[in-house]
Amino acid sequence: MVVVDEVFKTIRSVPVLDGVSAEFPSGAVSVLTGPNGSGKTMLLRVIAGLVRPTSGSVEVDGRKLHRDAPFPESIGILLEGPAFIGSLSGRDNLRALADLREGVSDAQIDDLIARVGLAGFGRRRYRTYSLGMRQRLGIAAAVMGAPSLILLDEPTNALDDEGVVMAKGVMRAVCDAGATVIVATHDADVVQDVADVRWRMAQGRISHVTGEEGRRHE
Amino acid sequence: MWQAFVRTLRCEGRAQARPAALRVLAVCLFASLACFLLCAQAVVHSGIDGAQSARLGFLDFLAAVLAGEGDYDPSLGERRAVPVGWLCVGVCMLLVTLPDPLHDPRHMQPLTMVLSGSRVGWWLASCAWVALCCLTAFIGIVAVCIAWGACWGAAVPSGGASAGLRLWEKTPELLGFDASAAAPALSGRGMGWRDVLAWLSCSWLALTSVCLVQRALVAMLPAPVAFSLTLAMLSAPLFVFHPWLVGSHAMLARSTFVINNGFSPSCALGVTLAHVAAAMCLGAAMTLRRDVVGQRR
Ligand SMILES: Nc1ncnc2c1ncn2[C@@H]1O[C@H](COP(=O)(O)OP(=O)(O)O)[C@@H](O)[C@H]1O
Ligand SMILES: [Mg+2]
Repeated sequence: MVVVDEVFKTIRSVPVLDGVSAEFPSGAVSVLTGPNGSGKTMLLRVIAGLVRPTSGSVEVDGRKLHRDAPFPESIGILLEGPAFIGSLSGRDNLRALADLREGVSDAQIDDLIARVGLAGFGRRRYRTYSLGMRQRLGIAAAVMGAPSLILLDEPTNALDDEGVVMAKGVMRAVCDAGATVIVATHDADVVQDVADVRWRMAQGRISHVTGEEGRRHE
Repeated sequence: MWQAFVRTLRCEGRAQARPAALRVLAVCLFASLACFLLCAQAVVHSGIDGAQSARLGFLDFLAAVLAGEGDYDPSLGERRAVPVGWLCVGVCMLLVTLPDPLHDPRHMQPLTMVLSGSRVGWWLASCAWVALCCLTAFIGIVAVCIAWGACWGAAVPSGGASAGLRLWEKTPELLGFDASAAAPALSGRGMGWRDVLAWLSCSWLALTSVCLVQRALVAMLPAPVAFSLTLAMLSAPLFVFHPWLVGSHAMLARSTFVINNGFSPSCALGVTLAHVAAAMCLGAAMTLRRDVVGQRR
């Protein structure tokens, strides 16, 4: 559960987040929509602890960011596209990132690679990956180790149809396992199929999308 | 914080060991080239005055790579020998520690920082990795020099005497610093193993401190700018003779063991540790304070 309370963020006297208050429940996929430059990515950065709000607070599972801890304790992120080491294989990249947290086994990494549709490519250098394959590895890194908070920024970018189905499946699965999933996306398909809660952003402000439009289509 | 430090360092080791090892190998190749040139020149000399070339010692090989330049006085009208070998090694050391995608704000920083769970631990791991790379590269350089010395048949000193550690009187011409200035200081005090170790430690620390300054600058500036600024800092002592220029302490030719007005190890230790502390504090302040906003390549 993530509670964002009256968050303002001003960069070079431009208000990028303008009093954002929202709740993102656990065990649900919350989707952020809105035009380019409306502040979706910035809000995700604030929730991740990467950007300090000018004022206001963010609480993750009852712990206030920057007061109780600098970052959410158990988190996975895919912000602004994937970034990995080109000279290492996809698998070695995940292996190295797994060192940053306890309890991710090699077998789990292999499972994960298969789950995002990279089976057979895990041992190839990341440099040789196509854009869509990179995105798949980014999704794998974000959900690795079953974190309780997962932030995904445009997760379906560059994915083919089958990739989009995979991404939606992964989002559904991690949230069914109890994680808080927050997704910024333009993909109408994702909004349609996996959004449990919808928020719309415009010019640094956020509003809850309710009613028929906001309800999940079963 | 310590957990974040250990985990980040572990991640760094797994992700960076291979590329870092390749870059260290490049440093060793440069050192090897400098040693080779020294041997070649000694052979040429021996053609001119016979037995002299046999007198190359281990210290000559270290000096071939790490001598730098003594107190150059343009008013004397001497021809200047720019210490190309030393500069190359310095540049290589900077390049060994420059690329680090895990700590690069334009690359994987957001991911590794968030996963580590602590900004300070994350930054300290970055510094520790730089120091570790510098140490490996430096050990590589010394090993290369010893290997070349052994192949050349440099005398092995007995009983702590400085027999194998003297500088050959002819080397100044080869190494780019003044023979007559070096000789008295060396013959007066000699340079035993302990002196060499003390000097080598200071030299490693000096190079490490410069690399740490570079790492701190990378946190704020694009990598090429950070590299250029640090290179200017490293090579500044080629133009000014002053103890506060940290590059001086990576030059054997400016050590008190070699020239009479040289810098002592305690002076070197003070200056380099001040640089290390400044770089680490600056980087920590930047890491703690700054927002990590995407500035993708
Ligand atoms: N590093 C930055 N410096 C200054 N302004 C920024 C920076 N990053 C984003 N912004 C501004 O913040 C606003 C929101 O950006 P962003 O959150 O990336 O939008 P989006 O909703 O498309 O993800 C934009 O107006 C953008 O110009
Ligand atoms: Mg965005």
